[in-house]
Amino acid sequence: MNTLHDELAALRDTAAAGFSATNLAHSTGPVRRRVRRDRAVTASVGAFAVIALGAGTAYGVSLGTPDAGLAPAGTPSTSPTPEQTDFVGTYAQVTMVAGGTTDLVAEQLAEVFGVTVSDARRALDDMVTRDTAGLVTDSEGWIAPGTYSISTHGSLEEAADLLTAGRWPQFAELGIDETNIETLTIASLIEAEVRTDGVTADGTSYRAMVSAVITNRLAADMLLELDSPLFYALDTGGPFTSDDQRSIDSPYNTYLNRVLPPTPIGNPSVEAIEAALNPADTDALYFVLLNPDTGEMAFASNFEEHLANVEKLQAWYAENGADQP
Amino acid sequence: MSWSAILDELVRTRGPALFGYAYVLTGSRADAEDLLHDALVRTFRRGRQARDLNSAHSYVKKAITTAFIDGHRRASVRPRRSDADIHDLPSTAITARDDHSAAASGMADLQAALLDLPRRERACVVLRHLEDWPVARIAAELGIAEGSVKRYISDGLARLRTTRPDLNPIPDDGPETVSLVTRSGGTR
Repeated sequence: MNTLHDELAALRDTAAAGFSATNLAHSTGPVRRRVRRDRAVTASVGAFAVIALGAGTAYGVSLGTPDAGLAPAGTPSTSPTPEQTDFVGTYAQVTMVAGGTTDLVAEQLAEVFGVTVSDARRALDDMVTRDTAGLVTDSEGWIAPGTYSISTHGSLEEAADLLTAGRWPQFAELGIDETNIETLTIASLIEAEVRTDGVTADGTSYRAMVSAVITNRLAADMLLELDSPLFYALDTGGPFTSDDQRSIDSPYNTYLNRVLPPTPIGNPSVEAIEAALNPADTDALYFVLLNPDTGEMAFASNFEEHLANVEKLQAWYAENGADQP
Repeated sequence: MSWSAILDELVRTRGPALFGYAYVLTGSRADAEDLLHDALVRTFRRGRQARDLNSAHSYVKKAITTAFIDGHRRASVRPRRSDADIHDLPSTAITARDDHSAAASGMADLQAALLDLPRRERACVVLRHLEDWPVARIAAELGIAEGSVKRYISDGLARLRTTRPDLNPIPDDGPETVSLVTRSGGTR
């Protein structure tokens, strides 16, 4: 027994013989509970749910109530409050709202773990890079909206892992993979441009309509001419962009670049992702927000119609005393 | 098979080998169990990797390795089990460093030397020389360049030899690093 392979194998086999004495060999229950909790992140989309990552559960401490970590969306829990004895330490809540940027949670993580925002952002980016084997290196768009309970006794990496885990079951269910990952970018544009669940006169959702406009313009080799990616690049809000802003040199400037932005511009809801996958059957090429209060939108398939719609928006601003574009 | 059935079957039939692999990397049974536990969670929570026993097995092994390499920061904030070392093998690192006398302690010396290697070197040496993975596969699975993998293995072996000069990495290949790392087959 004098080769490296033989000695390493002996080391492994001696340890392997002791596996039967471990908690894991005795029961896979703790693994199952953690898997169920992580998978339950899916349920949080568009709703309020709490996913508890119990640091204690990983180390053989028994759970009082199985699957205690999931609270029902937005309503007070009617089930008995689970005993918290299974958790080590305290929890901090981190929330991602639909359309929010990843920096929104990076800022919260930075506060919880006492690190810089860029460190927290890097941890999220690294997790996505690892999980996609380098296909995607930016975590923008990869945080499923919802509220997450993270253990302050866990590590930043564990929190980043939890926050980026929720997309995978969504992608598996909706059929998103490396071949159509740009769907997430389109969804983030839809999320940014459509603020309501509104529908057109014929009952088509605004989201599906905006999805169609984006798809139609890309197919026609037209500039997208969207303000939302520009706001993202400039880190400002709307409602309008100036000519100066529209001439900045940025891959997020869709007034100059005839392609999608290089990354999502926020973290879209599952409704926006579904709309991105299923654009409406329409020849619309333009859209405009008619009424910023109600979120009413108008769509047009030619420039003349579009200009008429824009005039209506300008009229709304004139009537409501807001600044003219 | 449901994911939980695959999980149970995996732990029952492959658990010992995976635990042993994690032990060779960490040198501690408690760490090995934590590592395996986390790797199982990582593998099964996303569905895709756990379609069947073999794909789940290879994903768990990969998850163990990457978590081990990335784990140094996480380790410092982990809660520790109080009885962590009770069941440890007699040949753990501490014991081994205290016992340089007998020839029978060769394996303990090897383990101590292994545990002194930086994590990446250790993982690459173990994957190459215990698991018989070709360099290209190690590079692909760990997301490291092949040249780096070769360097880690060669540096790691050089360090191991300072403790165990008698050690012959692979019997039919001489001491040349180049010939070691370009082999595509295994020794089994």
